[in-house]
Amino acid sequence: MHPYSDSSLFVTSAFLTYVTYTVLFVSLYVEVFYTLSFFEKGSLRRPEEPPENPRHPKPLPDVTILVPCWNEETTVEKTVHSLLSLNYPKKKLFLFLINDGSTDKTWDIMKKFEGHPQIRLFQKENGGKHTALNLGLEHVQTEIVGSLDADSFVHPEALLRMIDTFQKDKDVMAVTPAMKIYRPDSLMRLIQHAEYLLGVFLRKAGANMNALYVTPGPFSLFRTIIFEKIGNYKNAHLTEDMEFAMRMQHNGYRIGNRSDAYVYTVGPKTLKALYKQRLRWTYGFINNARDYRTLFFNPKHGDLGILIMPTAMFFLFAAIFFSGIALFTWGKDIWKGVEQLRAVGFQFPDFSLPTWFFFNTDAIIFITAAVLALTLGILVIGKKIGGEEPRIIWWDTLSFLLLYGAIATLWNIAAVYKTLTSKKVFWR
Amino acid sequence: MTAHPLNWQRYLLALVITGSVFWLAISISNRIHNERVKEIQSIENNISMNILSLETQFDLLAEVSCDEIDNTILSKELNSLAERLGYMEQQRGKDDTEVERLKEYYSLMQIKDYLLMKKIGKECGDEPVSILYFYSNEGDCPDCEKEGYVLTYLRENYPGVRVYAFDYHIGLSAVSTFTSMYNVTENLLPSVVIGKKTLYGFQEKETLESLLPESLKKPSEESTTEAGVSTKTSAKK
Repeated sequence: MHPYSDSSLFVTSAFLTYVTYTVLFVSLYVEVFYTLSFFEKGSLRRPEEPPENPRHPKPLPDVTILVPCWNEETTVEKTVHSLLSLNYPKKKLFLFLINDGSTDKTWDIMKKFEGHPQIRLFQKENGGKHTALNLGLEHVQTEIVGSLDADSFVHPEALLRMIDTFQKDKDVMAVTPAMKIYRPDSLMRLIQHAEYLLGVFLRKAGANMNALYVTPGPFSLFRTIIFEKIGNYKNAHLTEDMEFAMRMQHNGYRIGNRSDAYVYTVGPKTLKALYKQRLRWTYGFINNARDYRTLFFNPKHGDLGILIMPTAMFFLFAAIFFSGIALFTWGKDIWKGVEQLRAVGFQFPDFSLPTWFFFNTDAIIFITAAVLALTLGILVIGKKIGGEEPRIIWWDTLSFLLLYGAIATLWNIAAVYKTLTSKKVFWR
Repeated sequence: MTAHPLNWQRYLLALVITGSVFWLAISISNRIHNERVKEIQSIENNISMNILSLETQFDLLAEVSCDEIDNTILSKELNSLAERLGYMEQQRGKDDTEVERLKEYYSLMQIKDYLLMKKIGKECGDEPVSILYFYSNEGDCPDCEKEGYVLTYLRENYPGVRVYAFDYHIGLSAVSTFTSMYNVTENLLPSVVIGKKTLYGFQEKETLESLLPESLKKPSEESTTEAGVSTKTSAKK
């Protein structure tokens, strides 16, 4: 920056400024809204009551857990053992292991459990996760049914706690758990670790206002009757857990959450694997939202229709817009650097500390700081209710705040592109 | 089936909180902007005081020697002012009337300084090298930014050179007089006046360097660390 150089090249056109303020306003508004919803029901002050509480001596219902497997040879055994270790009466808990035409040793490993009194094995041609789940559903005879992806493990108390939520609220037709990343041992898993803890908070707040639009594959439980009422799983752009939740919302059924029912899932380890997973999710969101567009701006669907669904879609495009601006600005800075180099050759940059005068004190900076501060606050609460140990430096939080926006742009753009060009996404 | 009642109070409360954060952020930002304006005003006051003092010194020349005229402070302050104005313009956009006014004042002071230096040079026999630079930042001068880099380089590497930069579109009659004096028109930007020559369009670093007097050709060693410009009329600091 110099008086003789052209300062107006910086992107400050009125249009961009208005768009930036609008996006920041909506972001902060939605964040505040979620936070208010979270505290409105005292989610932090009043921890979830332990279900062992003798004040709830209701008899426990029978539960079936469906475990759809497609090439899960490395994790399926551990998944089954974690289910068998659930603190729940053995006579009331049944596991359906469904091999969806795996091409690895998944079936051999599943056969180890043959003859186990709680376990039934199913084998079928590969047809997609929803077909595996539907096969299991055909044989379910219990009051509650759930599913657990074969790359996830449950906390021993998770089931009992979720059943407690069903028993406390008769209107609740599905209960979602608190999902966490299993052993965050890579940068991508660290980022997801923070993201999932943020999700623990958002899911709780979302449940408080009945605005959940996903019943995650890892350990969401349903009253079996819901499948009779609104039908089984569909292919649903490879995100059957999102479509089913939207279908429930569309039909006015309540989805709850239990924030101390921990489920650990193996997150994609590399950026490439994460990209594929999220491309599928984002593509699924856009296309399921399109299929259920009647949810949007519909007061009949409460906060979900008025605020949550519209802003979720808005943020997807806002994120792409901002990434575009960031790329454009960086590109221009680089171009300026090249111009300067060509004009006068290499000059040693001035490393002296600038005075206060030259710090950027635009209102946008302060508002962005407020948005980030609130995000950090939400993460801290997410960690607290997610049962995380307090630490001084959270590498997961740090890497999440620094990198998530940038990498999320990759799949946001790809998902929009694939939707516009009607290209298909794949499982992996 | 459950109804989904809307909690309007929550919508309102979220609006109040978000609005408050925006109001606070904009207030703080404006306050800091005002502080910046104050700092610039104080620098401008200093400069106009220095110009007055220099003129007075000059008037007294008959009684004092050329050695006692000190204008180094003035040039340093003009540079510092230019840097701050450039930043403010970038921050607030070039349509901010307050910044525009400060810039007009700055342009006038540059002209004053230019004329005074000429006078002192003639009288004391050591005329500084002045470069007049006319630019535009309305997006109609793609080479102006590049020329800016070259002139910054000259200013930093040749402490004997004084660069006076004028926004062609500033709308100040004194600047318009200047532009018509040197036949500078909008489509000839960037334009550089060095000595008696007026050059139109982008000028390479080497071209401008070749036009500097021989005595200035070797960049001084301390020049890279100090952006301030001094003329040789100065004997003391």
